Amino acid sequence: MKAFLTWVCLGILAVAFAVSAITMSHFEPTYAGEDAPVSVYELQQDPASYDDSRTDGAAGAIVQQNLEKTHALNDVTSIVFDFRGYDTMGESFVLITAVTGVVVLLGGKREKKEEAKDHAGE
Amino acid sequence: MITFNYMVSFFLIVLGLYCIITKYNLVKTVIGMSVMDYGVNLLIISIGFHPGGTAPIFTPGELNPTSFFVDPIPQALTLTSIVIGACVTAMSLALVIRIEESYGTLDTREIRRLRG
Amino acid sequence: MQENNHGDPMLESPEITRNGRTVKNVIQRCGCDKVLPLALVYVAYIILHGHLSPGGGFQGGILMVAVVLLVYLGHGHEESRRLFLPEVMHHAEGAALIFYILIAMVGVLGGSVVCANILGLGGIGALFSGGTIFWMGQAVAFDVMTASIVLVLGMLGVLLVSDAHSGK
Repeated sequence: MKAFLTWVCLGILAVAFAVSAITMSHFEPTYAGEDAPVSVYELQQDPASYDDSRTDGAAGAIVQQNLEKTHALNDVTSIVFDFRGYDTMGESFVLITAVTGVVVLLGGKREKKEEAKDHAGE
Repeated sequence: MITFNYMVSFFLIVLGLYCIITKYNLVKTVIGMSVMDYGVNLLIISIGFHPGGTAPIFTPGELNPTSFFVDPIPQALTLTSIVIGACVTAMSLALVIRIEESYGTLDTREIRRLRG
Repeated sequence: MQENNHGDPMLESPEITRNGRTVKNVIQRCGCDKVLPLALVYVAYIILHGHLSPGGGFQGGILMVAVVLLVYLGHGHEESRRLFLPEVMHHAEGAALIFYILIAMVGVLGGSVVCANILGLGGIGALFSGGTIFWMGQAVAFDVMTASIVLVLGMLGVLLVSDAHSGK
C-alpha cells in the first residue's frame, strides 16, 4: 500500500514536471537585449560608449556598465563580488556555520573505536 | 535542445526525492539530498540560456560583431547555491557519523525502535 | 604504533619509524611529492586570474580538497595533522571573513554604498585590475580553502583528541 502510494505520487510529480519542461522551452530568452540591443564587440573596443536609457533589465545594464565601472573582463566575477557582494557575504556566513558544526560534532575527546567492531545494518 | 536540459534536471529532482523517501540507509538519504541539489542547480543555469550566445566574458581576441551573451545573473546565483549544497552535505554526514557511533546501526527502522 | 584507520584495507600501508615520526613507504611518499607542486600551482593560477578568465575564489578554493586528500594518502595520519594544523585553520577562517567585511566596508568609508569599487582600478586586462574585486576574491578563496581543509580532515578522523590512544 505504501509503495503503491509512493509510486503514484512520484508519477504525478514526474508528469507535471515533464509538462512544465515542454512549456518552459517555448518561452523567450530571459536576456535577449531586444529593446536596446547591446553590441558587445563595440562595447569591448570602446567601453565608455554605454547608454542605459533603454536597457533590457538588470542583465542588460550589468553587461553594458561592467567594463567601464570595474575594469574586469569577467562578467560573472564582477556580479558575484561587486554588484551583488552581499550575497557572497551571506554565503560565507553559511560556510563558517557549517564548519563550526562539523568541528563541534567530530572533534573533542571521544573514545577511538577498535578495528574489530562488527558493523550492524550495512 | 534546451528541453533536454530541463527534462534531465526534473528527472534528477524526482530521483533525489525517491531516494529520500524510500531508502532505509541513512547514507543513501544523504545522497538523495545531494542529487536534488544538483538538479536544482542545473535548472537555474539552463533558464538563462540564449541559443547561439557565448560566455559572458570579454576575451580580447574572440568577439566579432555578431556575438551576443547569455544571461550572466543565474550563473552568479548558482555559484552560491553550489557552496551551500556542499555545506549541507558535510553537516548531515557529520550527523550520520555520530548517529552510527551512538546507536551502532545505520538502519532507520532500528533507530526508531531503539530510541537512544 | 599502528595507525587508526577503522579497519579500512585501502588506507593501510606498511609504516616505518624514522626520527620518532611514522612515515609511509617510499613509493607513496614520492608519488605524492611529485604531483603536489603541480596541484598547488594550478590552484594559485585559477584563484589569481579570477577576473580575466573563468575562475575565481570559489572554484580555486574547492580544489584544495584534492590537495588535502593527496597529502593524507601520501604521508599518513599523524603527518597530515602536523602539516595542516586544523585547529589553527578553523581560526584563520574567521580572520578571512573579517578581511572580506573590511574590504566591503571600504565603500562606506569612502562615501558610497557597501561593496563599492573605488580602490585602485588598473588598466583593462591587467592582472591587478578590478579594484576591490581582486581582494574580495582572495578573501573568499582563503575562506573556502581553510573550510575545505577542516571539513575533509574532520571526516577522516584527524580532529579527534583522545587520551585512550593505544590499548583500547
